[in-house]
Amino acid sequence: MFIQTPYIQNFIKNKIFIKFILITNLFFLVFQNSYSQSIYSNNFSDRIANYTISVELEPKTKVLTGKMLLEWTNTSTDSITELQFHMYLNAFKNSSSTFMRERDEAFGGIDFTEFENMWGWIDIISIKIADGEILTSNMKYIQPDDNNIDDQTVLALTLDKPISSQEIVNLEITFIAKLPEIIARTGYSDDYFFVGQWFPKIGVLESKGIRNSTETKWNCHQYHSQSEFYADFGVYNVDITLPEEYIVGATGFLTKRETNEDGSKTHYYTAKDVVDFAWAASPDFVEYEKVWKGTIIKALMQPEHESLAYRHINATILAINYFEENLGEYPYPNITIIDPPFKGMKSGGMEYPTLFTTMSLSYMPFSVKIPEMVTIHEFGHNYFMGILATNEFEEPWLDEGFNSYYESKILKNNYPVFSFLGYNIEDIEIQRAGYTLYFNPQITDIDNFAWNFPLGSYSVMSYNKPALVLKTMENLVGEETMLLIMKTYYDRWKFKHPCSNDFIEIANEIIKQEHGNDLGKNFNWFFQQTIFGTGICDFKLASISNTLTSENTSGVYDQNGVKLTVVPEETPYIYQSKVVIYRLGDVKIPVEIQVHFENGDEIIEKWDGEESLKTYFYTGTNKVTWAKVDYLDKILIDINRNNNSFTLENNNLAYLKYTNKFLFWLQNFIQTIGFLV
Amino acid sequence: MSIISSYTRGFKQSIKSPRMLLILYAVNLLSALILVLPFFQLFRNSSANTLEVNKLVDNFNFSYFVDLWYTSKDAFISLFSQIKWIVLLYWILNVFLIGGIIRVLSKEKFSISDFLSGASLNFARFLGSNLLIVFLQIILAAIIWIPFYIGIKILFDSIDNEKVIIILFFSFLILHALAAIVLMMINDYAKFHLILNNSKNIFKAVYASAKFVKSKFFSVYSLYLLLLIIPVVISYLYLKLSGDIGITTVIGLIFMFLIQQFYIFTKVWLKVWFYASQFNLFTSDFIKKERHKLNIDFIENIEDKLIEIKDKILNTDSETEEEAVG
Repeated sequence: MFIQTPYIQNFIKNKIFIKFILITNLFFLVFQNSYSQSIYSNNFSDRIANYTISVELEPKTKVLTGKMLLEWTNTSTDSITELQFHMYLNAFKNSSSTFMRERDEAFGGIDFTEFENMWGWIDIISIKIADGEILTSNMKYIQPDDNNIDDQTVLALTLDKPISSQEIVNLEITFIAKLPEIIARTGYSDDYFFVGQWFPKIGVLESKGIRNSTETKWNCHQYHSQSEFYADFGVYNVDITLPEEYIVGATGFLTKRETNEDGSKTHYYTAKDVVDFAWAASPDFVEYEKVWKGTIIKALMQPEHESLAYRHINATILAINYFEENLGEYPYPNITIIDPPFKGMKSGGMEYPTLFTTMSLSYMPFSVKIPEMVTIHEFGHNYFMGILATNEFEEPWLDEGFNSYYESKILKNNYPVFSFLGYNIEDIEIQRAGYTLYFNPQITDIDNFAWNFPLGSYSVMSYNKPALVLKTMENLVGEETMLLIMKTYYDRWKFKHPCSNDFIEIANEIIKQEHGNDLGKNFNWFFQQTIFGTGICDFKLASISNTLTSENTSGVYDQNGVKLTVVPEETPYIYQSKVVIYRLGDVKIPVEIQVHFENGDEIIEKWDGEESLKTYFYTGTNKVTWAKVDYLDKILIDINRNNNSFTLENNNLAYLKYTNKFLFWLQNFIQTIGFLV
Repeated sequence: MSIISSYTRGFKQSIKSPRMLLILYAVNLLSALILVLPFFQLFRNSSANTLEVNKLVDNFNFSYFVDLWYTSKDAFISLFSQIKWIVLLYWILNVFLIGGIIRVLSKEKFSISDFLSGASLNFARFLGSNLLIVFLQIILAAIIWIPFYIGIKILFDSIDNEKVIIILFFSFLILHALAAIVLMMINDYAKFHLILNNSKNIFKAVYASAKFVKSKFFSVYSLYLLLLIIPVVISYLYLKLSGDIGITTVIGLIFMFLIQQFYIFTKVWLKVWFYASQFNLFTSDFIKKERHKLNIDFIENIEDKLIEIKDKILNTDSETEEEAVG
C-alpha cells in the first residue's frame, strides 16, 4: 500500500478510510508476525545478549524509566568476575565527559551555556542477578581509553560470583534516563524523539581468537566524539509506553499495540539477531509503506517532507536489490526509515538494525540526490555493522568504508549525485575529492581507533580513502573476483564480528584461487600499503622525447682534409624514443602503460612500480606521440591522475572551451554588477 | 510621456548609436580579458600536456578539476582573487561611461568627442551619486536582513519546520530585490537630474530623484519592470539554446562563443535601452515642469526653445541658465 495520489488524500477524509487503515494494519501485524516467525525459525546468530525491556517515555520531562532483563552468555573459555556496560547517554551529561571534551576540541569553543536543560544522562537504579544477589553497590564507572575520571560512559559491575565459561546469566536492571536535546544521534527536538543507545548495554567479551584478541577481555570503549558502537547479537523484546498520540517506529517488527487505562499506548516490538535496538516517536509522523519482495519498507515522514517519501523508499528498493544481488539476502522482514524534522537533523544520517534515519529538506530539487545518497548509505549499514558486526570503535573503516564503496556503486548504476545544467558529479568522484584534497592525506593510516584519528581525518580515513582502496582493489583483481570476495566475506562472517585480518584473509584466498600468483604470492603488498600504511600513490608520466638517430645524416663533413657534402638517403627517419615515468608516492602498485605512436600503433607495457623511475626506449620510424600510465584508470587512490599521461600533441580545444566558459561567466558577472550598482 | 512611449522611444534611441554599443561591449570584453588571458595561460600550463584534459571536451569531468586544484590551487586562488579588482575597475568604467551614454541619448546622435566629453564632465558627480546609492543599498540590506536574522533567532524555537524559514527567506529576498530596484531607479534619475539641472549637489539630486520616483511611482516602477522582461526572456532563450549546442568541435566552440558574445552584446544594448527609456520619462516630466516655471502657453516653438535650452546646458561646461536662455 503506497499512499500518494490526491484521490487517496480525499479518501483520507472518508470514514471508510479509517476502517481500511485498521484492517490493513491488522493485516500487516498478522503478516509481519507470521512472516517473522517463519524467517526466524532458525537462529542467524549466537544470540549472546538478549534483552527484554519495558520502557516508558514521559515526553514532558524527556525521561525514560525502564526495566530490563538481560540474558547474557559467557561464550569465552574463561570465568569472568566483572561485566562491563556501555552507558552511552552519559556522554551528554556534562561538559567534562570524554565525548564533550573531544567535541569541544574538534569544533572549538562550544558555548555550553546553550546546553542548559539540554543535558542527558542514564543511571542504573538497581541491578541484580535474577533470583540471586543484588549487585547495585558493585557498580563503578571506569575509563579504559583516556582515564578521564569524569567520563561515565563505561560501567563496570563486579560480580559476587564469577560466571563460568558457557554459563548464562540473567540480570534484572532498572534504570532511568534523561534524553538530551539532540546533540548527536539521540535525544529530542520539540516533540520528536529519537531514542538510540538508551539503555545499559553490555559490552562485548572478546575471547582469544575473536578479532585480534589474544586473551579474554572486555571490548567496551568509552563514547567518543568520533566513535560509533559495538555490541553482540541478540533478541530484543521491547515494549514502549508513551502517550497515545505518538507514532512509533523501531528496530524489529511490531507484534502488538495496546491502549492502557490512562490513555497511553504500549507498542510491543521484537527484533531477532540484531546488535542494537533504537526507536523514534513523534505525533507528526506520516506513515508510508511499500512491500518489496517480501520486505516491508516503512517510511515515517515529517509532514513537510511527505513529497520526498517516494524518493527514500525507491532508494531503499535500489539498495535492497543491489545488495541482494551482489552480497547476500537481506535477512530481516522489514526496514523502517525515520525522517527527522529540521530541528532534529542531528539525529539524521544514522544507522541501526532494520531502522535508519535519513535526511530530507523541504523543496529539495530532484536533481540533487542527497536524500537518495543518505538513504542508500544508511540502508547499507544493515549489512556493514548490522550483519557483519564489526567493531566501529576500533575499525571504523570496515563499516563506513565498505558502505561508502557500495554507496558509490549503487549510485553510479542509477544516477549521479549532483546534476545541474548538464554538469554531473558522481559519488565516487566526491569520495576521491574528499581524500585527494584533504590537507595531508598522509597524516594517518586507515586502520586506527576512531578517536585516535587526528583532527578532521576521521571521515577521510574511514569513509573516503577506504572506498577508494576497495574500488582500486576491484579494478586490480577484476569485478568478478571482487564480487566473489565480498560474497564469501559476507557468507562466512555474517552475524559475527569480523576484523580487518578476516577480510584480508578471505581476499587473499579468493585472489589466489582466481588469479594464482599473477598478483603476487598474496595481496598483502596492497593491503599493507593502502590500509596499514600512510603513503600516497602518485605515478607521473614525466616526459616523452623522440630523437633522430645518427643513421640518417646530412650536411658537410671533413674527411681527410676534404669537405664532403652528405645528402640524406631517401629512407625514413629513425627515431630513438624515450618514455620516462616517475613513481612520486611511496605506494608501489603494478601498472600498465599505454604507449602510442604517430602511426597509430600502440604498446602496452607492464611495470611493477618498484623503482622510483622507469624508462622505456623504442627505436623505429614512428615517434611516440603520447603515453599514459594506468591507462585504464584502475588506481583511484592515485592522488593526481592529471599527471598520469603526457602528450606531444596538445589538444587546445578543452582549454579554449573552459576558458570561453570562464570568459562568459566573468563578462556576465561584471555586466550584472555594473547594472545593479 | 506615457510608459509605453518612453519604452518604445527608448528602444529607437538605443539602436541609433551602434558605435556606442560597440564601445560599451568592447569595454566589457577587454575588462574580462584582463583576467581571462592569464587564466588560459595558467590553465594550460597547469595541465602540462596531460591527456586527461581531453575528457573535458565531451563532458564535464569533476575529477579533472579536483586534480587541477590539487596541483595548482595557490595559483588559481591568486588569480581568482583578482576578480574583485576587475569588478571594481569595470564598475568605475561604467560610472564613467554613463555620462557619455546620457549625452549621446540626449543629442540623439553619436560622436566620439561628445561621448567622451559627456563621460568625463559627469564622472565625478556620477561617482558621488553611485557611492551614495551603494551606501544606501548597504543600509537597505541591513534594514531587511538584520531583522530577518534576529527574528529567526527569536522565533526559532516556535518554528515548526524549515519550510517556514525557507519561505520567509525568499519573501525577504523578494522584498529586498523590489526595494533595491527602487534605489537603482533613484540612482538613474539622480544622474538625469544632475545633468538637466547642471548641478553638482549629489544629495540634492538623489533627494529630488527620490521625490520624482515617489510622485511617479507607478510609471517609473512599471517602466522598470517592463524593461526587465527582456533580459529575463533573453536569458531563458540562451539557457535553452546553450543546452543544445555541444562544444565538442572547433566549429561548435566558435558558434558558442559567438552566441555568448551576442548575448553579452544584447545585455549591453539593454542597459542603454534602460537609460534611454528612463531618460525619456524623466525629461518629459522635466520639460513640463520647466514650461510651468516659464508660465507660458504650450506652443511648438516654445517647446523647441526649451529643448534648445536643455541642449545648451548639456553641451556647455559651466553656463548659467540666463546665459543659455539669452
